[in-house]
Formats: sequence, structure tokens, C-alpha cells
Amino acid sequence: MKPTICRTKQCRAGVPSLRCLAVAATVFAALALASGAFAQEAPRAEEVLEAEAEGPVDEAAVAESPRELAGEVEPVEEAQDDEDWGEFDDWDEEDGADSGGSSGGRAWDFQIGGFVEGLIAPRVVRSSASANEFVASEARFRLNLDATHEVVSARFRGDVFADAVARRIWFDIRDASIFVRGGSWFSMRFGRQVLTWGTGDFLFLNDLFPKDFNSFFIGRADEYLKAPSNSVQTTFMMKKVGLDLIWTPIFEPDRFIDGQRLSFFNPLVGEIIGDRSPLTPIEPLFPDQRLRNGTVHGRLYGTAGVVELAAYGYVGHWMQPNALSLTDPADPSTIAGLTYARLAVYGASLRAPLLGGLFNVEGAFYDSFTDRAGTSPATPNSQFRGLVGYERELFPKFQMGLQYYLEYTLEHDELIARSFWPQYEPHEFRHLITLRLNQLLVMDKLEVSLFVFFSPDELDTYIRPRITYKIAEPLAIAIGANLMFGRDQYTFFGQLQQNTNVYARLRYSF
Amino acid sequence: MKTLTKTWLAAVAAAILVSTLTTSAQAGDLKDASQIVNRTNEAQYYAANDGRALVRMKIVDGKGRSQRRQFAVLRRDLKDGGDQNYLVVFDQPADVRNTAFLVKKHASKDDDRWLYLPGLDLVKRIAASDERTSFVGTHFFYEDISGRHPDEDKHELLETTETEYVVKSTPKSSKGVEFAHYTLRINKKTFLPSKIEYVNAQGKVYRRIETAKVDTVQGQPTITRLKVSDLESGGYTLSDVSNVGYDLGIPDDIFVEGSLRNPPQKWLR
Repeated sequence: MKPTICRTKQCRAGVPSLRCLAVAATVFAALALASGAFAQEAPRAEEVLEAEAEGPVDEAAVAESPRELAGEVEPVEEAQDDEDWGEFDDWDEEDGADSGGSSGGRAWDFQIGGFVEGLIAPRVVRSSASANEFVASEARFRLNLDATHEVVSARFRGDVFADAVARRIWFDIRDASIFVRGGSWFSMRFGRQVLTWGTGDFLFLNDLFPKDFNSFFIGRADEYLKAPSNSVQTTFMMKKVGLDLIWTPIFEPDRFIDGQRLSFFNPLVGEIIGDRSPLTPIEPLFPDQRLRNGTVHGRLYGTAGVVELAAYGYVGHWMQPNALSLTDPADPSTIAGLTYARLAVYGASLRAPLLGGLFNVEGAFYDSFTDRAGTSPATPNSQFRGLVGYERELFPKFQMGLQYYLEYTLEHDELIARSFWPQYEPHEFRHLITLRLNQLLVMDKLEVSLFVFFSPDELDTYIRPRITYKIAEPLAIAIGANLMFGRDQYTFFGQLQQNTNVYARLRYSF
Repeated sequence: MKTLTKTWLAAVAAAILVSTLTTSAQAGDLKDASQIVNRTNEAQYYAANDGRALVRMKIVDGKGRSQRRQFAVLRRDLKDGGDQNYLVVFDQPADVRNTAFLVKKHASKDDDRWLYLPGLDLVKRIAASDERTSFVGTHFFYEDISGRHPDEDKHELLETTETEYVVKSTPKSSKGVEFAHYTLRINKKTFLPSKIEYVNAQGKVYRRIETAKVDTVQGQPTITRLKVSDLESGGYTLSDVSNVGYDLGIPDDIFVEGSLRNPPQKWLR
């Protein structure tokens, strides 16, 4: 078994993306052609309505008389852009206007959209590990395409961005997928897609879909915390119970912090390393692209009154390269690289309204089944992870959310006894508290928000303040900071302290 | 005895029917303000058993700057005047396209609401919020969109004109409301409000909702154009409803989490 070595996380995101782009372009060209054919065949809307009214009336939806249909349902023949909506007086002239949205019973609806965005994020602390004073300096173009039909739809979300920190241009396809509905009880989505589930707020227990932690810490929009994967999602609905099964044939790990852009603590050398270090970027040994290395995610969910319940399952790998590949299992100097150990996760969650707010609880057992006894220092131990949260609106448009998260590492004594660097291992119980405050002002155009992570046992913190303002309809600005502090430089957030940054992001949507 | 009562009832019903069909509006006038408001609530928010609409809104602030909102709404009533399910899918502005809301409106307790954020593929349950705050940045309040429960106010019939009832509604509890009372002008035939004015503690009208257009769709009188004005800031929001359909047979099983991620195009178009 010769492991495939991927040089950087981005090569996985970049190279298949070009292939995806070609596939997506072909799909859209085919759909566009198909819709052209439909449009030619389809009679004019008025004719359709008249024909329906003359024919046998077998649907409850059909109104009583042809006159009513023609006069009041107002068939939309052509979508006309209505930039000058004007006052009431102007409205009559614009009857039937519809700005390209969904309406009128056409076979296919097409939508195009996206944004252009600039982001700049300088470090505001001195960094000995990183040569670059910026964690981000990039210009991004996003294209969204949607082709929607009653039972089938195709979706494309692609980014192109010029990145002055990495000194290159990236192509990142976030979505290129086709959705098929097979009645009310079954649906499927094929292709590249972003997937999320679970009840936590910025804390993911049962969500083992890929995340991009670089994006999270450098001021990119929240959506970039989630990375896409090439997957097949099937959903079965039975009354109040749903079942999602997701298969990712080729393992897609997190876009983890590899030292290039953001520095982190390396226990091997006992210090924070960044792009100045010859040890970066971290290039983990990637599992073979074989079927057995793919991942399977399942969720069974339903409601009991107002209470939402869900059970989750996962079989695959740890999403971060937190296992060591050793030539001699007892000798840390023989490290060939980092790798992804096998993992299964079983969990459950509950969410319900409580005292005018929302309460949630979630638990997950991380079964690191290749080393259940915890005797191998090269493999992470099994863990129990738990979360309790509560959120409510304290004042109009002011939301508060609190979470308590616990990570319990099993066989901790074994871990400490056998670890190559016991002084850097996390505690048996790692606690984390989060606080979210959100205020909407000025007719929802101004959002002031704060999110804080704090660990009372590791004594580190991560503070995310942000102000977002919609300057004028398509233009929005976000100013914020990513502040990481810690007593020690080897803890979860403490290791990121040299990356503390402020950022400004300007977005024009279309 | 039973037959007699039945006959008598039928006669009364016939008389009422005739009186409303002929011009004698006075004879058919309702006297009970609560009954009028209940009928208004049903006419405005519970027309037919289900419905679909495409809503466009234009928001103009006090300085004349404008913004747009556009969304499609599906509704299904579980009980007239009671619980309802809503699915709202946004199309504009561009940055919120495909954002969707699922609302399970309850007559007697807080609504259950879910929000779908497409970028993260995240279905977020939203905590109950103040009903009298801006609906997605417009001058409408959540309560204007989903309806204020008639039992929350005391209703008083001030006047009955040729065409309208004028009702004064005073909140039973001032908790969570910014008005001292409001007056409704209600069309006697359609039971739709033509104008609602909100009065503050100083006795000043500071907020107004006006009906600009009513269309009859499938026999259901429907407000298709509305204007809500914030008289203090000078800002206002216009709302225009199109693509209206009633009794489409929208099934209850589309009001689920899956419809947020993949909206049911069959019913939305």
C-alpha cells in the first residue's frame, strides 16, 4: 500500500475543480439546450390557460371560468426587469412584471448570480513563525448558476480568487450538483456539495463533513468554514421521520491549518511554526483513493411535538491528520508523516423550545477503533464529546446564545504514559464555553456581532467581533477581528495566537 | 319540534342571503367588533385552505434610498383562524437568494421557525422573537405578515359607514407592543382592511398600512398591493403580490426541513 501524498490541501481543491468546471459547463450547456427546445415547443402562456379551461376540469387548482383565469391569474409571458418599481401609480403599467424569479409555470427556471469580494486581513501581533504580515489579501469572484425544474435541478457555485498571500490564483468549486426528486418520499443530490448537520453553533460534533479552518480564522465569510466534498446524498422521508445517507467515495478531509498561511504549534519541535519553518506546509499521508477509504454519513431525524430528535452515524477517518505514520512504532524520530486514522462516530441530538428560547443538547462518541485501548501513541484515542446550548432573543433584534462543550478523552492514563510529548496532550476533560451576541440595527442593515470561545481548563480564548453594514443594496462591508490568546502556546486556540488579525471585507452581490 | 327549528333556521338563512344579495346593507351589518375582526383575520390570512404567492417589496427609507425584496410563499391552513404552515423562499436581494423560512404558526403558543442558510447548507432553528420588529428589513413587522391574533386586543366598533366598519383595537396587555391602540377600516363586503392606523401613547398616528389594490382570485378577494408607512422617519415599504393561487392541494408533507434545502418547485411555480 503506497499512500498517495498530496502536496497541499489546495491541490485537492484546485485540480479536480478544473475537471468539475468542465463537467458543470457541459451540464449547463445541455440544460440550456433542453430548455430552448422546451421553449419552442411550449405554446404561449395564454393559449395554455385557454386550452386548460376548455378541457375537462379535473384539478381543484383550476379556477371556475376561462375569464377568471385569463383576467386574474395574469400569466407571465415575459420576465421584464422592473428597475423602476415606483409608487403605486407606476405599478399598473408593470402588471405581470416579474424580475426573472420563479413564476409562470415554465419548464425550466434559470438564475445567475454571485458576487465580487475583496478581503484584507493583516496580523496585529508580532509573528516570529510567519514571514507574511497578512493572513489574507485576496480578490474573489463567485458565480452562482441554478437551473430548476419541477423534479430535477442543477446547481453550480464556483469561486475564482487571486490570493496575494499564496501568490497564486485558485479555482474552488463549492457546488456542482444535480438534485432529483422522486416523489415526496425520496430525493438525491449527486456531485460536489457543501453539507452540514447537527445542533451546535460553530461547534460540530456529529458533522464530519469537511471544514476549512483557514477560512474561519482569517475573516472570510462564515460560509467558507464549510468545505465541499464530492458526494451522493440520498434522503428518504416517511411521515415525520427522515433518513439521510451520504456517501463520499473519495475521502475529503478538512482544509486544516498547515503552517503556510496560519502558524500552529508543532509538538515535535515544541514551538509555534509557520511559513518560515522548513517543516511547513504539513503534507499528510493521504489514504488511498479506494472505495474502502470513502466515508459514509447517516442521519435519522424526526419531530415529537415541538422537540426535534436526531441520531447520527459516521464511518471513515478523522478529518484532521492527527495520527503519526511511524517506521518504528516506539521511536518518534522515525516519523514519516502525519496521517488520518480510521474513525467511527455515533451520536444523537435534541432541540426544543424552552422559556421563550431554544435549548439543544448533542452527544457523540468518537470511536478511534484502530486503537481502542489507547496504547498506540501514533493514533488518537477515542473520545466522548457533548454539547448543551441555549439561545434566545433578549431584546428586540438582540440574540444571545450560550454553549457548553465537553471533550472527554478515553484511556487518558494510557495516552499520557505512552505519548511522545505528554506535556502537550490535552486534559482528560477539555471544557469549552461559547457566547454569541447579535444585534440587528437600522432596519436590519447593520449587524453587530460577537462570538467568544473560552476554555476554562486550557485557559485560551478566541474572540470574533464583527460589524456588517449593507451600505446600499448590492454593496456590503464587514469589519472584524480574529483574536486568539492563550496562557500556553500548545493549546487549541493558544497555538494560533501569532495569527491574531483584523480584517475588512467588501462585497458586491449581483 | 326539531323540524320546525330547522325550517325556521333555513328561513332566517334565506332572509340573510337575500338581504346581502339585495342592496340592504344596513340590515346585514355586523354589530360585534370581535366578530368583524375575526372575519377580517380569516379573510386576510386564512383565505381558502392553502395558497401560493410571489411577493415583491420595495423599501424606501426616509432619505429616499430604496431596496428590494422578493420571495415566494406557500401556505397551508391546519385550522381556520388557528395553526398554519408557511414556507418562504427568497429570491432577492441577490445575497440572500435561496434563503428559506419554514414557519409553523401556532394560535396559542410561540411559532416554530426554521431558517435555511444556503451557503453553509445550514438549517437553523430560530428562537421566538419579538413579533413587532422589522420583517427582513422592511417596514412590515412579522405580525403584519403572519397576522396578529384577534384575542390579543379588545375591539370596539366606532362607526359603520356605507362601505366600511371602523374598529378601534386596544391591546389587552401593553407588553411587547409599541402602540396604544390602532384603528382598522374594514370593507363590509370583503372583510379586508383598507387602512390600519397605529396610534402611540401621545395620541399621534405614527404608522399606517394602506391597501392599494384588491383582486378577486378564484373567488377570493385578495389584497395584492399594500403600503406601510413609518410616519416618523418618512420611510415606507410597498408590497405587491402576484402569481396568486388558492386551493392548489399543497400537501402538508412539504412543510419539512427537506423543503428548505430543496424547495418544492411543483408548488412554488
